[in-house]
Amino acid sequence: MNVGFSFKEFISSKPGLKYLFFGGKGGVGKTVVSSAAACLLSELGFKTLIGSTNPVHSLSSAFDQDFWGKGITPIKGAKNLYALEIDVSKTVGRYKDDLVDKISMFLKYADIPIKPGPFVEVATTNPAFEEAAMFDDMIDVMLKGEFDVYVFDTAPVAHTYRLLGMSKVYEAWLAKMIKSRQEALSLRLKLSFRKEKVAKEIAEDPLLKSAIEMKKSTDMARRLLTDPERTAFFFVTLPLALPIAVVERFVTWVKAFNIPTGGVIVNCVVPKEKFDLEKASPYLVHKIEEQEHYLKVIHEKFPGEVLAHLPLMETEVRGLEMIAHLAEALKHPSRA
Amino acid sequence: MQQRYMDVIRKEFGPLIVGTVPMFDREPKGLAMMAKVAEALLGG
Ligand SMILES: Nc1ncnc2c1ncn2[C@@H]1O[C@H](COP(=O)(O)OP(=O)(O)OP(=O)(O)O)[C@@H](O)[C@H]1O
Ligand SMILES: [Mg+2]
Repeated sequence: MNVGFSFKEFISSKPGLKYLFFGGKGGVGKTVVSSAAACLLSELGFKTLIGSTNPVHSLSSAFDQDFWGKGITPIKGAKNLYALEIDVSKTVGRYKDDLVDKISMFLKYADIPIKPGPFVEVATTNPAFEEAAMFDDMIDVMLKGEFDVYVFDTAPVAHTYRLLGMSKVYEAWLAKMIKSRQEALSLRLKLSFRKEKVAKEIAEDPLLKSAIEMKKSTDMARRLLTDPERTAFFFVTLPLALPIAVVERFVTWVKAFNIPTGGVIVNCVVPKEKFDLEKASPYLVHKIEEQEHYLKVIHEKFPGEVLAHLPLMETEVRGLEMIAHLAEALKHPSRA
Repeated sequence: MQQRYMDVIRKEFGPLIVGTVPMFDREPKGLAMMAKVAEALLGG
């Protein structure tokens, strides 16, 4: 079996690494593993932020501290480690208000006497809008640059995929919007008698300005997200068929978006050396045999990319101490 | 730990619980295993 790097060695081999994402099937331990990774990075001396846009208050549960909607909060008991649990509904609300403003402006320019409220409601009451808001929240945090390293506990896989997809749609839409706005404005300039006044108005066109601003920040985000020196996407799986299948699919998606991949982390591995398999119940023996089979499958499917086996703990993972314990396991290469 | 959380679940959702499914000794895959899951679900 190909053992390869440990997670920690991977980190050391990429001194410019700044943005770490964790994805995988629902419930496999993304929150726990990304928390452990953030904990390790903070121990290594990096000022680290662990962020989540998941509407479930998962970081708060994992650390057993309340971060929900409180902005960037230092994690009690840790050094260099901060948490951020973003309430996306707030961002969505802000966007709606902003959209109402912009569309009102647009309708005013076009002399159309209708209220935009209902349109905005229809256009924004859908999951894609929420995902776009999550994506923007994440990008905002990334671009502020107050931390050495950013770790993102991402939402489940289908979500993340659409999130990545959205950024492309978004970009295409913005490019189109900017172009048509420019055309409309230049037409106005040509037809106008008071060219100077109109030229000044165009230079200050609020719609165009904000579209260009938005495009600038998505361009920037795309550059960061596709830079293999700075960004890595990690996949969390269990030693079971369904989560492995999700990772395989996810790897192709992420690659299609040119997002650099970091490696695979296997969570909830039963430490078989703790059992006397001669005396254990057939049920347990069977479970462990199954696990060993899937561990082999994982190493075959992702040769040299399996960065850690994290042990299944005696209890669920709650609190910094247990997270720090799992962070320890990220220092060791996966066992053969 | 499982017992403790089972108690919590019974207390919080008591009348809403329509079935419990055991952890099988292999991942439920394929029709035969699904039949087993269904059986467990129906209290068989
Ligand atoms: N190595 C482990 N040992 C013991 N319990 C674990 C381990 N990893 C995760 N758990 C437990 O499994 C549950 C799910 O973990 P977690 O919330 O991290 O998954 P997730 O992938 O983030 O889920 P979601 O898809 O809902 O965001 C939690 O109750 C957690 O405490
Ligand atoms: Mg989670």
